[in-house]
Amino acid sequence: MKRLILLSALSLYFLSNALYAQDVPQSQVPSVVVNVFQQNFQKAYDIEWEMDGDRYKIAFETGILGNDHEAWYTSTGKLVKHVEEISKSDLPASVLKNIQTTYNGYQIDDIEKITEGLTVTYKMELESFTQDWKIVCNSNGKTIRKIAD
Amino acid sequence: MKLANKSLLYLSVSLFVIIGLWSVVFYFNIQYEIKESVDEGLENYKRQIIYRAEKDPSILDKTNFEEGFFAFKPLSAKEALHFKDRYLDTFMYMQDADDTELELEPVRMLTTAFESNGRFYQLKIINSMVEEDDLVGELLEEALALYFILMASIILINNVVLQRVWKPFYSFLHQLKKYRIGHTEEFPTVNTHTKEFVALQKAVHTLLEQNNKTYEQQKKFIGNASHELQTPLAIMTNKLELLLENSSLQPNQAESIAEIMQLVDRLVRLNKSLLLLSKIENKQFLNNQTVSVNEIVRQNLSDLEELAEYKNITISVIENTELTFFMDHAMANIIIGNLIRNALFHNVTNGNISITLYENQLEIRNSGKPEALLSEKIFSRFYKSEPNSAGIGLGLAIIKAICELYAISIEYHFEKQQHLFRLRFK
Repeated sequence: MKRLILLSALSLYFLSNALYAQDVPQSQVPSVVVNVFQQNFQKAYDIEWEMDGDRYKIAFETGILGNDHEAWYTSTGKLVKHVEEISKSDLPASVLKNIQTTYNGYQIDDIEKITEGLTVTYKMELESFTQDWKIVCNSNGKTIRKIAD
Repeated sequence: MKLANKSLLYLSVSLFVIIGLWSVVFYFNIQYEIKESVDEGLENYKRQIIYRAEKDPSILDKTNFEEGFFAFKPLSAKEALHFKDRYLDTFMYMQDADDTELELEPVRMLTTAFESNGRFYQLKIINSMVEEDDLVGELLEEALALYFILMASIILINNVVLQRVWKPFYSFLHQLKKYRIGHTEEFPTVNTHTKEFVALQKAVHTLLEQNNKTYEQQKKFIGNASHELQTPLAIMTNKLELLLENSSLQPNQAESIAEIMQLVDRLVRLNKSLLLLSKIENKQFLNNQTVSVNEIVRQNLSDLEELAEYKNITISVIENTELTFFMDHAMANIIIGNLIRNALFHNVTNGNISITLYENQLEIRNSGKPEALLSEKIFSRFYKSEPNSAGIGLGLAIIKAICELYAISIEYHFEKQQHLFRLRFK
């Protein structure tokens, strides 16, 4: 009985994976997209391709620490969005300064650098003992969105 | 087939199959690995070439493989956007180091499409592959070498290890072969602690003990019986002789008594032979001395001269050498006398006997019944080729017993319509 449950759980997992994530092997991705991606991110590894609507979503890692990245390409090979996990020290000094003055006493965590075309935004979590925030700010450090967590 | 060779045979066959199968698997694995690594190399080239094309668009003009391992071809956007990376095994004219001219060589080709400055191109990159027949040949050689090395080492190990392991067994077997019930004093022993061999020794010892006991009992019985029969038989003969001397007998009564006397005489002879046999087997004749076989032959022939003349049998003796042997004189006399007497009794009228002495060998040939005797039965007790003959069927059994005592080998052959008995004195 236990085995049956395990088996059905496993098959359900794989089935749902196939239905929603729509993983594609790299060999099934158009060459143009692959080549553009490879030129853009030459040091990427652990690459996983997915179909996200009519776009190609690529999850990969870079660096020794394995920073997580996600990139979206159109089928003609245009990079439309790039989300990169960065550390606090990678934040531009002006952004960091702005945030530290605005949210004094908060711990900065889970920073993501989001590039869409030419606009760059940063998404991060701010934690204190009493309140947690999820904020998005622009490249100057000005808060665009703020959600209580 | 020896045990070692048998296991070797099984091993060689199974190893051959295993290595054969393994080579096939290995071949495909290697091929897969090579393709994998070639493909990886091609992928790396692709990145570098596209990168270079970005910097130096002039290389985009290379449309064939004449100068390098890659070629471009402009593509329409529609074609390019549906293009997927393809890896292909194909052939190309190339010149290897071991070729004198251009030859078709197997290559792996990657075809891809990319965009450069708003225009689409197809890129083909090639890399030479291992020639399959070379790979197969090489692998076959290696597999065969492995097989032979394995076999050689197994044979070596077999010879050293198995020989050592089985040594006590063969020594035991050798002792057992030489063992003679009632002759060999010591039981065969196996000098090992190997469980199986020790068990074998135990089983053999039990068997031999029982056999020895039975043998001793039988020997004693025959000896006692024939000894006890001696006296009554002697008395019987005496009484019958007295009775016969009594003149008051009717002729037919006298005839009956004579017949009884003949039978008693036969019984006496039988008893004597049995007594002799048991004496031989008990080794009661040990007055050994150097005996001249030639002399004994001559002596016996002169004793049997009359009988030979009566049956008109010609006897020829060829003495090639002076044959001597260390044994009891009476025993030698029994062997040779019995053999010559047999040759006379079982002969035909106007027949012949030829006796030949060689170094260490005595042959007695005689004419007789035109068919071979059963060589495996003639030496057993109470066997008679002619059931009605006056013989008692112990002559050859006695000869055999004496021969065994002195380790003389005796053979019977039927050659050229002649019966041949050959004695080899070792």
